[in-house]
Order: sequence, then C-alpha cells, then structure tokens
Amino acid sequence: MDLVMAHPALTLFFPHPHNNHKAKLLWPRSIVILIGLFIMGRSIVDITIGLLPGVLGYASQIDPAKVIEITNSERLNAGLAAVRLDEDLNQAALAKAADMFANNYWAHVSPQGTEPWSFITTSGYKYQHAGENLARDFSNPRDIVAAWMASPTHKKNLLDARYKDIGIAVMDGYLNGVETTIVVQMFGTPQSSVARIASDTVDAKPVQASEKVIVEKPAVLEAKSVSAGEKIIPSAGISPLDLTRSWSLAFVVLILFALSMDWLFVLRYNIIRISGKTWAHLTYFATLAAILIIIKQGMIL
Amino acid sequence: MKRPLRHVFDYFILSLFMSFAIILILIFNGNRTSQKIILVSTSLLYVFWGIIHHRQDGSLHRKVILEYVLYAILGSVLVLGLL
Repeated sequence: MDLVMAHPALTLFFPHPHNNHKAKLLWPRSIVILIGLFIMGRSIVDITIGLLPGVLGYASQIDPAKVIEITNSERLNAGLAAVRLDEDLNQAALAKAADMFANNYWAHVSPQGTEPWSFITTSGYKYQHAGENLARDFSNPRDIVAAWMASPTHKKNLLDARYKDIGIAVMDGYLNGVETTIVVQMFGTPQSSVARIASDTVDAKPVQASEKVIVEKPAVLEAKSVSAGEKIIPSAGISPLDLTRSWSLAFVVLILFALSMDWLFVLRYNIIRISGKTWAHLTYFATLAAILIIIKQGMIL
Repeated sequence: MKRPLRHVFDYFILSLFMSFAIILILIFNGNRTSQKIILVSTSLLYVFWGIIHHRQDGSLHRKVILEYVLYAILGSVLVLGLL
C-alpha cells in the first residue's frame, strides 16, 4: 500500500499512512477550504451574471388562459366555484409585473412600499377581498399551479371560496440582469357581490411566502406581454440555475468520490481510526446529489 | 442487539430520513423557503444521527462531531447556493 500510494496527489483521495489513513480531501481543514472555494466560485458566477445581462437567463412562454384553467380545475376539485377572468384584475396583474421589472424587485411589496392592492385599485377594480400569488422561471402552467398548491399560504389564496374574479399576467423581462418570466395571479371579490353583507373591514392581506425584497441594481427593462402557447422560448443563454447546479454538483461528486475510495480502503485494509462513519457521509452526500438534480427551475412568492 | 445488526438499523433510519428529505424537496419544488427549511433540517438530523450513533457505538469523540458538523455545513452551503 505504501509503495502504490506514496504520491502526494493520491493521498488527497486515498487513505494511506502518510495521510493518517484518511484521504486529505476529507480532513476537516480541507472541508473548510472546500467551503471557501465554493463560496468564491459562486461569487464569480454571480458577478458574471450581473456583468453579462442577457447572456444568462431563462425565458418561457406560458399561456395565461391555461393558468386560469388549471386554477379553476383545482377549485372545482375542492368543491369551490370557478373564478372568472376580470379585465381590470388582468390590468392590475400586468401593472404589477411591469412594476417589478421597472424597479428590479421580486416581492409582493415594492421597494418604494407599493402594495399589490395599489395596482388593483388603480385598475378600477373595487374589491372586498383580494389576494396575489407570484411565480417566476417556470416552464409550464401546470408546474406553477402545482408549486402554489404545495405551499399552504398560496394554496389558501388559490382555494379561497370568497374570490370570484381572477387576473393573470405573464411577462418576460430582466431582473438583476437575468432574463426572467414572471407570472402574477391576482384574485378578487368585487364589492358589488357582497354589497348586501354589512362589513366595514377589508380583508386585503396578501399571501406572502417570503417578505424578502431583492433589489440590486436597475433592471434592463425589456418586458413584454406573453400570448398563448406553452412552448419554451429559446433563451438568450444558459440558465443561471444550471450553471450554479453544475458548480455545486462538481463539489458533491468530488466528495462522493473521495468518500467512496475511503470506504473501500477502510473495508479492504480493516483500518481502525477515530472518524465518522463513511457510509453515513456517503448517504448524506448522495442525498444532496439527488436534491441538486431534482430541484427545478422556477420559484413562487 | 448485536452491534452489526444495530448498525444496520441505524443506517436504515438514516436512509429513511434522507429518502423523506428527497420526497419533500420534490413536493415543495418551486417553494424555495420550504426547500431551505427541509435542507437545513436534513443536515441537522444528519449531525444528530451521527452523535447518537457514535454515542451508542462508544466511539463519540470531539473530532467525530466536528467531522459531521463540517460535512453538514459543506452540504448545506452546496445546496443552499442553488435555492
């Protein structure tokens, strides 16, 4: 074993008396270095995305009518009435999407403090109850509604029996220099439909999965409305998600390789040492590899 | 319980946790906040599993705990960078 494994480069991956019977890559100090290297690499990727707007991006063409159809299908399955497309709510959703691109943010409330209800009121829709769901970077309507349904707060909005109307906007543009497709879904109950119900409280709280406001620099505004069709528009470049996924996967594969070698050598040479269980580490990192692979493009808010 | 049999049981439990984490990540695809919570919980469970396992094994050492913690931090950083 000594003769075969004497090379310093090999001690990085294989247990050996020269590395205290543990691959150097798996030493605590190496793990700390790997964490640092990963963060540095990610920073470079993020800077590249910022410097080259449009080179990296993800654009899709989603049919707003399909989003409404699937939404109504979920409502009917839950025993609720279908919501009707309202032109004013549609305008409100479009205004919200345009505002997000114009002011470069991804949130329910704009950096200037503009709430979703402001867009609804400006559109002329007089509401008793209203709600907003947001999504970005999805490739098809079914995944969007599925993601909303998997989130308790968004599901509550989607399956709220009080809502009668719906407005949808699908818009393509740039956020933080990255090509993005945003979907804004707005629900409302018109004041007329509850005119006979004595109530002086307006329930207008948005469903917010996160209150984080992302603002980095002025957006390159090239927003456009998207019409029918679910075909993915060929994007200007590769998806930032794929780039960061590859970077993370490279590290996971490296660790998995070193752990596999460690496990095989410990088993083969019956090495006894003070160390964690390699099989457990393998299980953990294999899980992370699976997670990295299954994480889909697209997020909701 | 014989030691090897107990180890098999421990690894079965760990695999169960990890499989559950994958299923949850799949269910919550698109919901980044939930996915972050699932990931951090999985990493914490992994560290916790390591401590319990080595304690029962009689091999719990400060170095061992540090190893699990560092792996959990690395793993979390690698995936959180994507969420």
